[in-house]
Amino acid sequence: MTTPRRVLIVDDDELDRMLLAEAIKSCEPATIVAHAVNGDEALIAVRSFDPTVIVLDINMPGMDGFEVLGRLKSDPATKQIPVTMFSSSSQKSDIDRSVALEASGYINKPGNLSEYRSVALKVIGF
Amino acid sequence: MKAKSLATMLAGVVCAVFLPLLAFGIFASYESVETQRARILDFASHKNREIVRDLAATLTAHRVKLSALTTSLSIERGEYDRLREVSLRLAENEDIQFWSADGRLLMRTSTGPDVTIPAVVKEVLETRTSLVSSLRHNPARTTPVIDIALPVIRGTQMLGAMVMTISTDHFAEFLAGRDFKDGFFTSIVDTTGIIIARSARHRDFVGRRLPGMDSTTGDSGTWSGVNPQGVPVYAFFLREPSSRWIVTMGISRQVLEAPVAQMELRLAVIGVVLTALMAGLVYLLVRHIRMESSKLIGVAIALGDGRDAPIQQWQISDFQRIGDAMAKAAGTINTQAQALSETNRTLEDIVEQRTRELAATQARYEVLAENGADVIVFRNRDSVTSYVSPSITRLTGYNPEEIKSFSPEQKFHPDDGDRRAAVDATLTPERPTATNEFRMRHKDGHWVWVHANYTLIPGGTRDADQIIVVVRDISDRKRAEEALLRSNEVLRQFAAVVSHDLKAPARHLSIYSDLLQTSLEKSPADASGFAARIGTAAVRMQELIGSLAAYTQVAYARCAVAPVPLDSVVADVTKTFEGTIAELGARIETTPLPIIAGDRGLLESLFQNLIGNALKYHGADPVLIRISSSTQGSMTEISVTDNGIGVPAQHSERIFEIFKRLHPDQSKYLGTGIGLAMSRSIVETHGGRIWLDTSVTSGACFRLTLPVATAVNEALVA
Repeated sequence: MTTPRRVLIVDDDELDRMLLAEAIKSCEPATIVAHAVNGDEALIAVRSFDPTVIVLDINMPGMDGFEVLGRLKSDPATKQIPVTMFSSSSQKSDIDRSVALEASGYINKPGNLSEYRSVALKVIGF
Repeated sequence: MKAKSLATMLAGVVCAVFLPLLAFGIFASYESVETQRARILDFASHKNREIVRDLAATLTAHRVKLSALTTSLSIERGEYDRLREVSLRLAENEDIQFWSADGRLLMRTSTGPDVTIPAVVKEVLETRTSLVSSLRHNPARTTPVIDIALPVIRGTQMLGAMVMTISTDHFAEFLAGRDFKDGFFTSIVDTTGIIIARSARHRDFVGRRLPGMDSTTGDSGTWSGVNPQGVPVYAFFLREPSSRWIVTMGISRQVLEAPVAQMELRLAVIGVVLTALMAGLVYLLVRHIRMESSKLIGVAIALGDGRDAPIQQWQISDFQRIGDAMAKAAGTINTQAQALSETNRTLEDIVEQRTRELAATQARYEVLAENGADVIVFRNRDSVTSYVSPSITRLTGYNPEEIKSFSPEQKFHPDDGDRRAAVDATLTPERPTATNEFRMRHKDGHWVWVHANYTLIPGGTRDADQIIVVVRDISDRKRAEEALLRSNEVLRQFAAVVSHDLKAPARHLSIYSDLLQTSLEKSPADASGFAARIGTAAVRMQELIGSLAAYTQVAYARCAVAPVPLDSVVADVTKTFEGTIAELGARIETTPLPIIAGDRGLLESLFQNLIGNALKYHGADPVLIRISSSTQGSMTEISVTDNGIGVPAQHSERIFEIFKRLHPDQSKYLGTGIGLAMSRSIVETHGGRIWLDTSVTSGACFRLTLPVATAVNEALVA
């Protein structure tokens, strides 16, 4: 039996966190999901939780997703953890910036409930 | 080379011609004199030989007569009378004698005193040969005589000697017939050197000894000396073979040297005459040339004075040619000078007219430069300014003299220095123009954006280059550009907001609606929760849209410009927060604030946001808000300081972005995050700037600049 996947979801939007976590668990029940509501929490959680993948919202109060991504990638301890951006924006500038900051993926937030499962599959794919 | 006078040159020429001529003359004369001398000597020598020949002939003739007598039979017969008869027929002036072998005189042709036996007879009787005697004085005669003696022999018997005694006069006659010229002397001298006969003054010298006898050795020769007359002579001598007598032919030295003297005299005369001629010629030539030269000078002076040349009577054609040419030149030059002077007058008129036109043009340009809106600057590459048009005062508030005295640092914005230096470097004679935009400091302290057109006037060297700069105020354009940039920024932010912020509640509405639908069927208890969420999302969306509308209104607001007393704005805004202030026990302290040139409505929004934020993000201490201002020139800097929770320095820029809420705890500080974005928009609309003073660490300090209502701004309003 393989080691269960550990997903850290960083998002200030509670609804998004819950629905994504639920979708991931329904797709792969063994997966362990942790939550952070802002950048500061995320940077602490990444140390204690040791995630195999991080789902990171961009538009957050305080430190935004790009800043968190920058810090994760500039720290050798966290540099190797794949981070997929999770944003309601589909603006080219946001995607370009994510690529520049070495994000592993970019997922648009779903417009309806049914789309969360496909998002979950994408996250698990990492 | 030094110039020489004409006389010197002529004298030189004369010497060059005359002296060789004279030398040749002397040489030729000398030759002729030598020839003449030779001819004289030849003549003398020839004459000498001739005399000797004739003398020999005469003596022979006498001997022949005597010889005939010696053969007479009368001698043997003793018929001496008969012998005398025959002898008398043969003898002319001569005395013929017959001496017997024993020395008796047996026959004699002449009568007179008795004669003694001559010495020569004795000698003949002894030697038995015929002989001619030397001169002897005959007692019977007055003149000396010579004897010719022949032996009379029959078989071997010596019968006696036949003697002819000849007077020296006979020889004098012999010489006299030879037609001697003056200066030529002939003497016949016996073997002892006694003169027998002489061509000149014969009688005076007969019997005397020839002075040059010692020099006469041999049969012929010459000698020099003094003749018996005491005349210096050059002489030839020749011996007559039968008698051994000497015939001398002397030429007076005077005669011999006469040609030389003659030549010398002739040469002297010729020399004098030639010299005189030459001198006269030179004098005449110089005089002529002088006269002609002075005429030429007259022509030249006329030429110099621009007059027509005087008409001259020329005597030397060459000078005439020069004079005519110069006179012609004078005429031509005169004509040309007149034409030139005419042209000059015309040119002067044109120049005067052009000067007037230029002055008018210059005046127009001056009016343009002095009154135009553009500023005209003349400077060199080292920014040493020689001219600044007065319109600089309108642009910067400083007068031209002040501007000229300023260093670049005093005049220009420090951030533009590199760009200005770069422009100067691009100016070359090949690319003499350039443009640039930079900021100039206004006397009030604000910066004026200007556009500058550079034109290089090459001066040959880099130092001599002049640069004309035409400076135009482009503040309006810059303001428009800034407004456009702001507008673009607002659009950009709007897009971001729609993308991020408005999408979130919309998604919530959609998802909660899905959940509501599902729960209505399964769990009605959840349904009410979802419905409540939908409500929240809708409210949130309304808030955001409201804020966005407010922001857009501010961002795109047409900023009215009127004097707005900031004191009253702050007072009005404070009133709107009365409740909160009372609740928090807050205090707002203000210093007297200036009157702003701006839009009252926007300024109220600005302070509502700033004061509102200060009240909202309070700390544990009672809220204290300080508002103060410091005015410099046309701008005032206002600070709004609080003692609240403050803002981390790293967020000093992001707080001004729209919907950016930086406090992590969203539940504690409600709001949409539009306030500071609006504030920045309002301040920038007024041409000012707003920033967070990060040097203040306790609480937050916002600083902003706004234009004060000054006379200039009043003018702008108008």
